[in-house]
Formats: sequence, structure tokens, C-alpha cells
Amino acid sequence: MEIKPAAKAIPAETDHLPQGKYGAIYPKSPSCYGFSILAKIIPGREPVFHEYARNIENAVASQPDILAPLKLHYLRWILFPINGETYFMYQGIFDTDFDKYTEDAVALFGAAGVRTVFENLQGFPMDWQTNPEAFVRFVRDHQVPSFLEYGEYPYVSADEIKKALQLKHAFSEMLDQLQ
Amino acid sequence: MTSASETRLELEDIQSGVLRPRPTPYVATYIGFRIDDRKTGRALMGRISQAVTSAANPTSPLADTWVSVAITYQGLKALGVPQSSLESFSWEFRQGMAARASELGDTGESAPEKWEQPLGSSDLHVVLVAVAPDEQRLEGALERARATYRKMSGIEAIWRQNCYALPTETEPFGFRDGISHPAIEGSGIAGTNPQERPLRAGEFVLGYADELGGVQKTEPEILGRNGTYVVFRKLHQRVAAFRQYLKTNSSNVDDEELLAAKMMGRWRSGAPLALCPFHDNAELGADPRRNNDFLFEADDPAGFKTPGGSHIRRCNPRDAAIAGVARIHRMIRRGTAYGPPLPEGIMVDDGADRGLMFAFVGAHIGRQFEFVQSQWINDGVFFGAGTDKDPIVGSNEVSFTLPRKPVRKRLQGIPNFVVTRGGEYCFMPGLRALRWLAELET
Repeated sequence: MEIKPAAKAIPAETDHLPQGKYGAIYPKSPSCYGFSILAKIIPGREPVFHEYARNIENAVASQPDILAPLKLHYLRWILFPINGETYFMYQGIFDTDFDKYTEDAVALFGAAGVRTVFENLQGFPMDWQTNPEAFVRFVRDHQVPSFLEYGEYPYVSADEIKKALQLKHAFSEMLDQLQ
Repeated sequence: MTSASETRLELEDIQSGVLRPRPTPYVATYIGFRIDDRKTGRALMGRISQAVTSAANPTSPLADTWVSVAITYQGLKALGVPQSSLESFSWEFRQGMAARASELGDTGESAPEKWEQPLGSSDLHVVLVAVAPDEQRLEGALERARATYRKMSGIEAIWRQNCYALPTETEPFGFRDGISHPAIEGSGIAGTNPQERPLRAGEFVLGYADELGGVQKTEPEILGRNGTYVVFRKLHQRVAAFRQYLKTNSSNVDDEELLAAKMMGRWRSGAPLALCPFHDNAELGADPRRNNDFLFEADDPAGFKTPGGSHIRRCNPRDAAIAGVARIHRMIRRGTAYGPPLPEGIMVDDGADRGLMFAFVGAHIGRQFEFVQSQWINDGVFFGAGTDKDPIVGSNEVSFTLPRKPVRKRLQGIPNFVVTRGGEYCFMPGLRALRWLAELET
């Protein structure tokens, strides 16, 4: 099997893309589905972000599959300054289309009792738990689409990667048993 | 947020067709109308509000016979509903089914340009559905319906479809249908899976809290309250092709039935593989107390009994480990056969048009009907199966994996056994809303 890396340029114009409820639907890229959100935080809330990081670390440690239904590859949360103000960047790589699964994320966070750190962003709808449309609109308003995406192992899902690793481990175990 | 125990559905304002399971057996007729004159259209709404039965009094002797009415987005426009009200309806409803074809997998031979007219066109405004246990009572219901539009100029009946549910409750491929029905808080109608908690009323009826705590409202509120969205689709079924496929890919008759069951997730009797994975059990299949009483995750996470890609596990993954939360994508689903059944044993297509009139009922066309169609039926990522699709109703390039020990079986290039002939997104208003529409003065 040849694993052929791939890159995809994403044009700035979105008129040619299929239009969904919240705007253009971006296609799956070699690095699967993903989105990046950039927004200003409410001044002085930096400590809340760091507390949130510890909470998520603990939540995942105590329940490792807590985020599994989101079909994630990676999440990155970044705080950075511009002209004395603190901005926040959230970047997620998923196997599922964010537009279609936002309500699932809202339901999952609600069921797990997880507050979203987005509540500390300027303009975030505080009724997000009962108003997923407002949640998606905020995200779309603050989403900055990629103009280029690359995949070393393109279009491969996290499930496939996990299965491949389990298979490798099982083979390795089998070979060990044959010694 | 309203707590579950406080939910009380205003059943007297909800159309019977929204919540009430259909009788067995039954016959039904769909009639589609175009409104050419808005005043006549409004008069029709007023008359229909008298003919439509409510979901209250389900034990009435006449409760198994009813007329329902649903209106398309183009129909609301034809009635002169103000723009601000139109915009308060769901985005998907405003687009209409034909505009959502690529999302739904309605491409190629299922594409809207090949649909039966006037389905998918801007001419279809109102859909009446009459349901009754037999032809005689259906005629009575239809006569009540006809009385509402007879001698009215400015309204034209432009489409009709007769359909039926057999006493055996089987659909054209030969499987028992209509087994799974969710319980809805406040409806008084029990679900068929005792292991499923009742769903919040707002999943199915506008104006009530849904599973996320949100309440869908329209402008004005009376227009949407106690109404719901209804999606109907005319689905042609290639019964001979299905039989041929089973025969070609099996070594004997028993193997054919097992393959059919693996593709469906149930034996033709309705008995679920989850409860009888090796042999059919007709008694279990016919027992409504037991034939839907199961989950997947604890007993069968890998799908050795019920494949993850089988039709029933895709349409309702229950507690299986999947992307997202299955509960917020549940729907009321009703299927009614049309056309002559293909006689047993016939393997060659006789050219007759036969299939299913599919109906969805729910408050969220996007996260219920469209999500299930695009993510669960026509994709496999949600349970880790890549591009696999539903082996029975999936569209275009269909492949299916049967988990087996010691080696799985892969079926690729499965033909399309179901072709979309057309359909539409509709809104089924409450009875008060029908009167509100009748009294519009714009």
C-alpha cells in the first residue's frame, strides 16, 4: 500500500462551494476536517483559560474516552497578544464535519458537565447550551479558514490510525510469543 | 428549562398524524395541491382545520381513521404568509428537498431532474394524507377531505399517490417494517424499545423543550406551536435486483436469508439479529414487546451479531460507540408500500413501479433527517467504517462490511436497490395554526 502525501490549496473565494445553513461548506482536505477560531478574550480572564486546561487534563485522565464521540485527531488551544490585548486561537482536526456535529458537541459537553472556555470570549452567546445555532454562528463568525492544508497520510481517520497501531501491537505480541 | 415531569403536550392542538402510530393493516392516500389563489388557499386551510383530527382521544372508535395536512415552504408563500414569519422557519425547510439533493445523496438516477412531477417543483403547496384501516373507511376520510376543496377554484389537485400497509407489515423487499418508534414525553404513546428513555417533546413538536433544552418558535408563535416538520419521499425499490443480489452472493437459501438479515440487521420476520443472531425466530419477530428490546454496545460492540453497517444499526445506533450523540438524531419514521408486490420467487423485474412512501416526522429536519441521511446512511466515518454506506438504501458507490470470525466479509460495488422518485419538506401545523392561516389578511 502506497501512502502518498497530499496538499490542497483552498481558494479565498467560497462562491463555488456548496452552501449550507451557516455558509460555505468546506470540503474534506488531506488533513481531514478542521477549523480554526480566533477571538478576543474578555480582559483579565487569562487565569480562567489555564484553570480550564487543568480541568480538561483531569477530565480526560479520569475518563479517557470523554471526547471520543467527537472523532478528533488533535485540538490546540493558544493564547497570544496583539497590541496589548489577548487573543485566543482554537484549532481542531476532526474526521467529521464540524457544521454537522456542533449540536452533538453541545450535547456531549452538557452531559459531561463541561463548561466551554469559549464563554470567556467576547461576544460568545451565554445561552449556548440551549441555543446551538448561536454557538455555530459565533464559531462561523470567528472562523479563519485555511488557505493550504497538507497530510502526510492524507484523508486517514483517527479510527484507522488507532486500528493500525493496535494491529501492529498485536503482530508484535504474536512475534514475541513465537520466540 | 422545563423539566421532563412538567411537559404536557397540547394534544388537542396537534394533528393526529404527528404522534399516533398508524393502524395495522392500513391504506393511505397522498394528495398534492397547488394554490393559485391565496384567498382560496386560506379558505382551504379553514375547512381543513375542521376535517383534521387531533392527537387527543386516541381511544375513540374513529381514531384509526384520519386526515392530516402539511404545507411546503412554497405553499406558505402562496398563502401569503409574511416574510418575517417565513424566515422564522428552519433553514432546511425553506430550501426544500430538491435543493438539498446533494446532501441527501439524491444524485445520478435519484437526482431531482429525474423526479416524478410535480415532486420537488415549486408547484407543490399542500399535501393531504388520509389514513384508514381499510378501503371503505379510507373512502370516508377522502370524502371528508374532498368536501374541503370541492368546487373551489384557485386550487388544483396535481398529484396523488395510493399506498398501503399489509397485515404482515412487510415492505416490498419482504422485511417487517414499522417496528421501531421512540417514546415521546407527554404524548402518552409508549415507545417500542423499553431500554430507550422517552425523548423530550421538543424533538418532535415545535414549542417545547428539546434534548438540548432549546425551544423552537416561529413568528408569530401560534404559527409554529404544536406543529412539526414532515419529510416525505417516494422511494422506488428494485425488488428483483435485491433478490438477484442475495442469490448471487450466497451459496444456498439459508445463506441468502442470513445475508439479507445482515444487511438489514433483522430477519425478514422482524426478529433482530441482536437477539437471535444465527436463526430466524418468527414468534419473536411478531412480538412487539420483545422485537425492539435491545441495545448494541455491551453485547456486540464490534458488530459480529448486528453489523455496524446494517440498515437498522445505521438508522438507530442506540448505545453503540459512534461519533456524536445518537439521541439527538432520533426521528419518527413511517413507511407505507406502494405499487403491486413482486410475487414470491420472481427474480426478474416486471417493470412495475413499487416501493415505499417514506415519511419523517420531527422538529429538526437538519439534525434529524438530513443528518441521518448524510452521516449515517451514506457514510461510515461515524462508526469507523470509512466510506461504507447502507447496503440497502445507500446511494451510488456502496460497500458493506460483515464482521465475522475469523475473517470479515467485504461486499463492494453493491447495486442501488432504492431510487428516489421525489419528495418534499413540509410543515404540519397545529390546528390553531391552520385557523391562523385561514384568517390571514395580507
